[in-house]
Amino acid sequence: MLRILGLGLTAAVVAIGCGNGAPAQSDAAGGEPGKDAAGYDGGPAPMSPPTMTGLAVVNSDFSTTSLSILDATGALVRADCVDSATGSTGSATKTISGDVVLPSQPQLGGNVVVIDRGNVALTFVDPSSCTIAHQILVPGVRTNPHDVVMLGTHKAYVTRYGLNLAATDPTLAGNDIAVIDPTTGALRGRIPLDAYASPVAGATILARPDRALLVDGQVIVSLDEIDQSFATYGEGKLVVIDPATDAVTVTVALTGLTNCEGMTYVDAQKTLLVACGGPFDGATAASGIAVVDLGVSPPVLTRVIPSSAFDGRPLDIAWVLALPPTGGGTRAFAVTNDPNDVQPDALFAFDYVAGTAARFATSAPYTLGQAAELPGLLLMPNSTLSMPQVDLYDVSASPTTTTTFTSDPVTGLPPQVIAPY
Amino acid sequence: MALVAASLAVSVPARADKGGSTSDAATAPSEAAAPEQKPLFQTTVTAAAAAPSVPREDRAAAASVVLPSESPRAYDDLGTLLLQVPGVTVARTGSSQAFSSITLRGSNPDQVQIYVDGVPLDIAEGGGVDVSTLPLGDVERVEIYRGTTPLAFGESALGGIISITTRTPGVTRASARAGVGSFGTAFGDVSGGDRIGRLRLYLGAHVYSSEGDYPLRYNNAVTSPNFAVDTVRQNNDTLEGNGVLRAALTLEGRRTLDLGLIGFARAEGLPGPTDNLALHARFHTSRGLGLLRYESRDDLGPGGRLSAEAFVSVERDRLLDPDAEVQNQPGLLFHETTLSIGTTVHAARPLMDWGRASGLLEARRETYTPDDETDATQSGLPARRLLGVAGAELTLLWHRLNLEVIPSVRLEGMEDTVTGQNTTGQPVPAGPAIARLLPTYRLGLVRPVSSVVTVKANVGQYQHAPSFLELYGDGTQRLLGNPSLVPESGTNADLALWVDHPGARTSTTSRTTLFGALADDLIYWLPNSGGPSRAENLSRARIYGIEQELQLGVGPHARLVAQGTYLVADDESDNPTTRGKQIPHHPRLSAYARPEMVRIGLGHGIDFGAYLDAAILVGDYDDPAHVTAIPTEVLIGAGASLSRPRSRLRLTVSGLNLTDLQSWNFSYWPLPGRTVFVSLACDSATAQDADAAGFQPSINP
Repeated sequence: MLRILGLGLTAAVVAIGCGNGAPAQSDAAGGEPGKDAAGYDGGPAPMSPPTMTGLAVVNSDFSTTSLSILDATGALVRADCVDSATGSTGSATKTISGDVVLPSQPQLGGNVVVIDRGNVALTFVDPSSCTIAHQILVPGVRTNPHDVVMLGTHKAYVTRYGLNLAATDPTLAGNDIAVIDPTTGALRGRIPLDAYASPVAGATILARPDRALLVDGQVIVSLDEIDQSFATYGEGKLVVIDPATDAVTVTVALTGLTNCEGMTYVDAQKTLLVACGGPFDGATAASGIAVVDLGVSPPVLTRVIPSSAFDGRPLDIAWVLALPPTGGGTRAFAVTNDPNDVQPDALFAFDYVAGTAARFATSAPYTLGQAAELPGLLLMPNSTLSMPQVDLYDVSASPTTTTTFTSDPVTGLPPQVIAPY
Repeated sequence: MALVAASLAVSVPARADKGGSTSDAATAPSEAAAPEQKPLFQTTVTAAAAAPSVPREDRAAAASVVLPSESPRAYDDLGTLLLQVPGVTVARTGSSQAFSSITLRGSNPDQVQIYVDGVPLDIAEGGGVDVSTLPLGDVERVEIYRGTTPLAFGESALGGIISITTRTPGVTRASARAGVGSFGTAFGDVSGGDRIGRLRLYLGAHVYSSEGDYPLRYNNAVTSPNFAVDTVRQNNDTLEGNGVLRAALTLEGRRTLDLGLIGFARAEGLPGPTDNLALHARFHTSRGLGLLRYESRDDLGPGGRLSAEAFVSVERDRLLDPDAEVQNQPGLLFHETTLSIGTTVHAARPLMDWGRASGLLEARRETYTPDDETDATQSGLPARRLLGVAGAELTLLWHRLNLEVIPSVRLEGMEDTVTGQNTTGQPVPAGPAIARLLPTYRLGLVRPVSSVVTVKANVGQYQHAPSFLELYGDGTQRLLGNPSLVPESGTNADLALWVDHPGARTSTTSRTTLFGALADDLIYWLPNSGGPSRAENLSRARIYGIEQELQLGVGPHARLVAQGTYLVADDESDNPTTRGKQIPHHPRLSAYARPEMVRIGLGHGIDFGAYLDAAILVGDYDDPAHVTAIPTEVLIGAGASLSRPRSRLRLTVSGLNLTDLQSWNFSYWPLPGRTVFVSLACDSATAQDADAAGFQPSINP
């Protein structure tokens, strides 16, 4: 085992976090983050992400990956659009590694942006031609990029979740938000987050920026707040960054919660939901859904829906989706997992105002991936070994199963993540 | 049994070899006692020496024998040496001293048991043996048993057995060698042997060092050539030392007492994959084997053989990652130690004129101790395995059909325990002991068809117990143990045609084998992104194919060594992603050929030799879904030697991958390109001495 481990042939660990602290200024590493800091291309940063064109599905067995394209109704348009071998010249490098995610929101430019944690790269895929438009390396090896927000043609935020202890250049160490030129990958600046690490006696907590949303012209980033060894957890936190100054303007403590990652924003109610899983050792006291009111200034944590409101098991940190019934409401969806890898995953609908939850589906442990929504429809990737598929639920009223489909019959790789592009 | 087609009825004399010569007392114990080397049912031996490719431990198995001394290369590692053996796949991560795994047919590395002088090297923690830690400097022969476990080896294996035998003590000789190679490589050996009364000795010591800085081109954003990196492999240095001491004492009658001490130590850099290069991480490996073996050909009567061996084996691996490059954990220093103590008794004797009976008993205690030197609470789970094996085999001769029928049965019992304490005495979660009995069965058939043709067949059912890691996890919430795992099981069968034509002008040795296997309950780590991973009995495999091994000799100066393997190793699990696809790192087609010229007289007492070789691997994948294909490899090598027998000097130059192919076996682990070694060796042994010990006059690692 040690020999294998020493070779780095084991799978990477995935995680998250959140907190509270003083605002900090960005460290410019190039460019002119002054008058055109918002977009680096002469214009202000967008107020909101582009309208969704369709959905992309990451299919992966964590060794290799393929990307499938769905249209705006959820129908499969193209399986195996690109994969780990696309464009390969036979070298030992995979074009796309086995550890990738998709951005939380659609991105400028209309491409599907693949966040490649393994290759520490962003791959821009043209969904119409199924070609790789271009590919950039995120500055800093082992920095484990977790999300991207395109703010202009030449400016993007990339959350660098990992801290490379071996880095000698602090601008390449990670545990921050990299400000890059997405056309070249050049590092234009960075937003350090050390000031927002939640203090824990006897441990050094890293902010670990994770998922990011563009909301009303501001970028909200969830901070996982975990130490380097994933042994100690600080209180979860959100930071709000103004793209005009590349500075943190507001922080929101997710009191009582740790390991917070996936977010969804409900514009109608100016409400942000954050999924917090608690420690990876399975303790559930710090697991739940944070409900944050963004309609007030500063934003406040209005309530926590604890894991006990679900089935007492930790919530899946990767995602939470708000999707009200057709008639309106305050309904959202989330999954719980059994850290002992025995009990099935459970898919819940919950009311983030009333704090009530009801389970409506289950699957084998750790098989339910990161879901996406369409009007009245929940698309749930299900990587059950014997039957990998996308489960479709009609959620126009009470959730009901409608159908399933195989997202990549070409490679057979199981779906893990579905997200809009 | 449909594969068994031994029905022809031509009686031929069995082959004889040195094992049946009159110099038993002076012959190495392992040779002297090998019943398969001598005719089973003859007491008068008149035949000439057998071909060296006759396996010692089993007459029916699909087996190959390789003598490192016959390799024409200036430097060899086990993986390169075994290119000439069908059914063998070696997967590398870098230089010859970097981690390499070995599989036989469709097995995985854990399903191949490797023995050195009868001492098992596979450890219960799992992961298979890193074959780069098996240097060849003191190796006399390597026997590969594909799909079959001969009874003499005790614990069986689903994939097969690799048996490494170190050099026989007793030949009066002294040899030395020094060499250099590409990428800052230097190596040196000294070895020698002698007799002191009834005591025979052999001692060998070897050092190897290399910078390992081979040219490297990689691109972690492969579609953007602007990101291509041209560099050299860094932090890939190796410093290695190893040695063997063998001492054999001839006792009264045909009895010997043999002591063996084998040591190996290596310090190496861990360069990491190209997507996670490491500049300072280090890995240390040390292994010690000790054995004491008593062998007798008198105690069980005429034709009988008794062998009793006690052994101890210690392996310690240590990972040093002060800059957090490998696991990105602060200051990681970790070591793990496996201590194995055991004894094996093997007895065999003829049964009148109609057969031979063999029996085996093995007992072994193995402890595994992980130790995180920076944080003992993260050390993981120490574990212990107690193993007992009892087996019996009959070799029955059906005279009328000239057919040997060899049924055997073996019962392996084991008990695994988490010992309850880590290295600091802190308790760890202890579960109940896991006990299991693994019966294995096998039937072998041998049917000489003519003086040169023999048909052999085997069918056997084998099992493989889960490893400690699979049973107990690594003590974290990330890799969970699964105590309910059942052993992997498999049914292997093969049918072989052996042709041995030792002609005066041309000689032919050919082994053609059809094989098939069904493996079930294969243990599979469920892939998982966010949650813990647990091993499950989820997979099945269907394996079949054909192997061809060929050695041709034309006159005294030309010969050809070749093999070809066509392997179907289909995943038969319920996983639609992988079902029906070839298991990764098992090429569909592999072949090797090496034409050689040897001992071409150039005058002035100088002999010349040369070879050209090519290895081809086709149809291999890096992943079970077959998204990432490993490009077809054609690796060309060549070499030449000049020797002056009178002065006992030999100069050898050899090259690997001469076309500088950028090859790889695992994604992100590019392999070296063109590699050249040069060595100069001196050996005091005369050809006569060397032949007497089974050596070729050439000197090789």
